[in-house]
Amino acid sequence: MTPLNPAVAAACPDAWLWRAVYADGTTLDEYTEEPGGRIQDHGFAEVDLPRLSAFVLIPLRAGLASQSVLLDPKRRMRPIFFRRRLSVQSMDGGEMMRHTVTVLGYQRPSGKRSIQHFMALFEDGTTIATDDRATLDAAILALAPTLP
Amino acid sequence: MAAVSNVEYFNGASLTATNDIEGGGTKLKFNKSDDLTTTTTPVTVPTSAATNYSFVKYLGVYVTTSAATTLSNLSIALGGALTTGFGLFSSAIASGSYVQAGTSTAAMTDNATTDVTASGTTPTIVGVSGTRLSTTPFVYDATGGSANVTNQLVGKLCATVFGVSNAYTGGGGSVNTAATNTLIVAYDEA
Repeated sequence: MTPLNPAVAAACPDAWLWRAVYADGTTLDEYTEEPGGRIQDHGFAEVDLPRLSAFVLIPLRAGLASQSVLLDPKRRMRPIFFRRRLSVQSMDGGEMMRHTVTVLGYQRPSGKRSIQHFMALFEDGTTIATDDRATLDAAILALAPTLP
Repeated sequence: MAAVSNVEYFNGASLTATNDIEGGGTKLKFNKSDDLTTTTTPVTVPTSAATNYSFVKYLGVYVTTSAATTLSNLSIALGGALTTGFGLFSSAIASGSYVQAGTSTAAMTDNATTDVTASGTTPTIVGVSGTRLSTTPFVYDATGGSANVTNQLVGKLCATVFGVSNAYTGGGGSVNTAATNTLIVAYDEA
């Protein structure tokens, strides 16, 4: 895997940075260094999904592992990626916490249905996998506020 | 950069972001004023079967530093069950439909017959039927919007009111907080 440009890695405030790997071997990183050294960010919507062969999360913090989804175009697989940002407010004036849970997965058609698989990646290394969106949402909501 | 955002409180004659309610910002107070800080206008606890409501508190996700990302699935949930007699209710309001709290359609009518603890009893908030908040997220804006903005609300407003009924036995005669609980605002960024 092509190593990350340190300037690009430094621009990402999150625990993982995504890399889109296309079938022709080219890549698009979530952050790129433009001429003059300017760092440009990219949204997931900029990923050219039909050309994609893999979607990779590169860890930026110690103790976290790389995560990948390999996409088979014959099965019309599409990656799922988002970061769930949670703001937990105490209503009695107490402590407030912010958490980010990174979700990686894929979806593919199966007959008239769409099959989805999700993996919730917590910043302490905890991972939860499920094929049900409601279960994913409930697990994140239950677990995230308990983390340091 | 990923978008830099916070949960903001909006008020005023026209929609104005006035309080960052995260971190060192102002904590939530459910009073009967168009602000989050006044403590002299609490919600009176009814002495007979009724529910009294706070003024509407408009909450939203406010982006301060733009990014190429999109924010979606904006939601709000409780961290646990509320004290008996307390209820929190929200409705999704487009920013263009904002009405200042306490005026005309944004005024909350204290209801003489309903008990906030009764299932299925929800107030209308700024003309939209409210949803009783629970530990299951209430998605107030599934679509959201682009984070490629600066100092701007993204998506809809989450218009939230606090209700207290005569079933509340905590004493004091009035309250302005649903204390000992947490409110979780969440969204997806990609």
